[in-house]
Amino acid sequence: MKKREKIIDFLVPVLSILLGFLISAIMIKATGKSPLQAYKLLFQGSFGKSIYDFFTFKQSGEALLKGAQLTLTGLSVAVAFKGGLFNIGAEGQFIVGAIVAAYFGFILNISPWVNIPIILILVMLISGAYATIAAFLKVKFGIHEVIITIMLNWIAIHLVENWIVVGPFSVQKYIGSATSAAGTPNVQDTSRLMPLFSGTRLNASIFIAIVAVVIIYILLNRTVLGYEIQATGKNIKAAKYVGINVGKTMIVSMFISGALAGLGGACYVLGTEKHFPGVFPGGFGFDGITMALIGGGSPIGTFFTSIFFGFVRAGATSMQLMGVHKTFTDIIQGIATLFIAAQMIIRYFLMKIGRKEKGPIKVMGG
Amino acid sequence: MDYALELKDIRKVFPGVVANDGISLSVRKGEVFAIVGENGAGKTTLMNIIYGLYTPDAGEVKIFNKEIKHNTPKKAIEMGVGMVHQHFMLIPKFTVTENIVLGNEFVKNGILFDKEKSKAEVKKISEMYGLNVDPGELVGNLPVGIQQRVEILKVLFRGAEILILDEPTAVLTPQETKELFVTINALKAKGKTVIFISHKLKEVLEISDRITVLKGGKVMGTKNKEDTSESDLARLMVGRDVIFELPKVEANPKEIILEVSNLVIFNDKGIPSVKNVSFKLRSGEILGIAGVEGNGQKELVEAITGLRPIKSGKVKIRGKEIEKFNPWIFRNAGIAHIPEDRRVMGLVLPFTVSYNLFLGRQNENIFSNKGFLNLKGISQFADQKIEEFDIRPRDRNLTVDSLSGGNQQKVVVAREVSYDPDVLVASQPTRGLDVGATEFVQKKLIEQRDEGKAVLLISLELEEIMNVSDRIAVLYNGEIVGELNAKEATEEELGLLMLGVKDMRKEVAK
Repeated sequence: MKKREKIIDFLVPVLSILLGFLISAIMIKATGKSPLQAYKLLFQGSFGKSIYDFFTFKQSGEALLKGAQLTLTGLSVAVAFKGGLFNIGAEGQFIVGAIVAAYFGFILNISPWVNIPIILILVMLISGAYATIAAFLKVKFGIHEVIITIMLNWIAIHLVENWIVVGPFSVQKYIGSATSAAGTPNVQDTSRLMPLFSGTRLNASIFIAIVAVVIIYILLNRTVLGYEIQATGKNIKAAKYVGINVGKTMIVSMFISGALAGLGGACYVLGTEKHFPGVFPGGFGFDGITMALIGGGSPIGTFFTSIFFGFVRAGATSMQLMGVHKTFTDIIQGIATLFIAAQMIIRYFLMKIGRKEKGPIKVMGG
Repeated sequence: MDYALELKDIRKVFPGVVANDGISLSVRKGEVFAIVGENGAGKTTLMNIIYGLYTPDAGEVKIFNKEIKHNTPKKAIEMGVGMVHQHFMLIPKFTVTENIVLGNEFVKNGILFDKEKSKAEVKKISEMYGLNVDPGELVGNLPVGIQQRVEILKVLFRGAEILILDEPTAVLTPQETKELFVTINALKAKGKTVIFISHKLKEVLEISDRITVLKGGKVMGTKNKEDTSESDLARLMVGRDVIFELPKVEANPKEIILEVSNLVIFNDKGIPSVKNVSFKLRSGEILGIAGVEGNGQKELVEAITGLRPIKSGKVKIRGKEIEKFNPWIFRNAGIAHIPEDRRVMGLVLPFTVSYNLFLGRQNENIFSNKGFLNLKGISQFADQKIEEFDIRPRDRNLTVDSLSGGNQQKVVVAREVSYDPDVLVASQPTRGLDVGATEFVQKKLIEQRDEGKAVLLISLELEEIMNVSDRIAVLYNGEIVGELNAKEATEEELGLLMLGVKDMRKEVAK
């Protein structure tokens, strides 16, 4: 019976994603184009046209890079979920991480083995601290973290994009007003996450993401802290009653959450962009919410979901060849999330299928 | 014979469990028929089959001599079956009338809700059965007993001839229960058939005409009220003799462990709900706190377990005053707590049995080492407690929300006792438990006393207070209005104290 429930837990996100593809196919069809052709291009664009392409990371490198990016913000949201907090603020924490990495990546110039660890640690501390504001206000004054994290997002966006990047830390200020470049100056080469293979942008952020997944998995499932975080997240009254310091636990889980989102921002700046760009493409933090939701809030689930959508997004560019806009993948992602949010619908049908064969899944006592 | 309901060889299997195993019974028209059994005996499954929520794997359901195939709740309602659930399905912000007619509203001018006619109709029905309810009152403002009447009216309004009451007294005070029984008799007098599900044998014997006992999904017997007794039914239910008198040796109280003086505690609304309460609790004794619900018990328990700050007064443990009201500090000082609601506070429901068994002790050496969980130690500890406290099924990896209420409570009791506390505060420790589990928990409390712990028992069940405690203090309106020796206390005297009619302090003053 337990096994059965596990299978359903796994099937729910899989079916949600499939439904996302199915409904999107209808939409593509409605625009007069062939969904099969579009999905074929999507597949080729993400995995490559041949086995050779796949293993030389020509296309799949880009997919893994995007997947790594999604993993870090997804993990951020997932950790907060486990602790009973809804961190809508991964977006802001990502931006804070990005600007901190851009700054220290620029001023530090020792060697990659020194620079990168120092930058990443500083990023995690500062982004973590930024997220902690929300947890602190919740613990101290009972203000809901969703409200605070949304406001912190806007503070980060405006402070960074409309002031720091165009003012005190703009490329003009450092390189000279003659340059037409926008954003912050480029980070030093010693601060960069270099591409792993030629012809692809894939860099060490995939390893950073994997290590983060493993550490978070161990933290949540094998440590006292993880036990306390989950007890607080699953039943705060019970946690309080047995003497767990729930305030402290919430602050710690929010700190970890913020640190992970910041790490995502750092990987983006040090790896993909080389600097904090003048026009910052937002949405990484919000995508993290989607990844954590589809991934069932678990680190492993979030990781696979992120990698999967990394592939979808990498392939989306190819769909443009036949005039299907690449943001179509957002529709797939959005529909999948919708089904996750309304997952009782899917569960109901899965149970109904199960009922015909083996009786209902939930045993009512009495 | 005219039967309202006949069941023949009903069988329902869930994966791994035979919930109903060939159940046959017939309910006569116009009788009060009780179905009793422990939690997990198959009562709820059977009711859900009658009400059309489940389809039986085999067997036959006949309502008023008509066989029902492919039953659904809609069909059942049409056939005259009405169900009053244990947890009410009412909308607090709607009036009594609105709740009752919901889904079957009277309409005027084609589209408008005919309030007057609805009200009149509700009034008519409520008068017919002597169910006094103000049709215009908001349901949220009504006490639980009256809300239940609204539920019954709802069912009657839909034309029910057979009323199924699922554990209707679980949420009621003794007075409200008496009123419910008046209602049930009124229904019977009007020719309605009532199916009464319960595990409180005293009540069943009082109200029913015939009683069927279920155990393990099977019918153990159907008895006429006149031909049976409480112990007879209990034997059928549990499968062995149940001792209603708990075996208990004389208490041997020693030093004072917990001393509470002049305690004033405010409730959530900022109103004092405990006023100047003082008592002493010695090791080796059980002090029972009796009282009608809402007389300050909740706040008192929360304060002496550190969950709620006090306004003034003192709490001393072994002579040392505790100043900071924080659960962690109270636990460290030696107070363990079985909370009144195991599902809300006592357990983390999505956690496994083994994870719930060491909740709060995660930093101790058996359970962790340098911040990492000691999974082997946790499992060994869990297996040991599961054996010792007879937690079923014997599987530490099940989540506790899949256990029955009795076994959930055993997990809580096992954990709290394993703290090896000086003081054990047990708040309504047997609420909602069946006979077997109740007996188990009460025995454990006495066992703890005999081991020299100080036990504070807070309960709404007078019978429990009288059987388990050595001394009884009665809480009324936030004050202790009397303290009695449990052996000398009578139900009448306690009742008068609980209702505030009598105040022993004044008598002493005189």
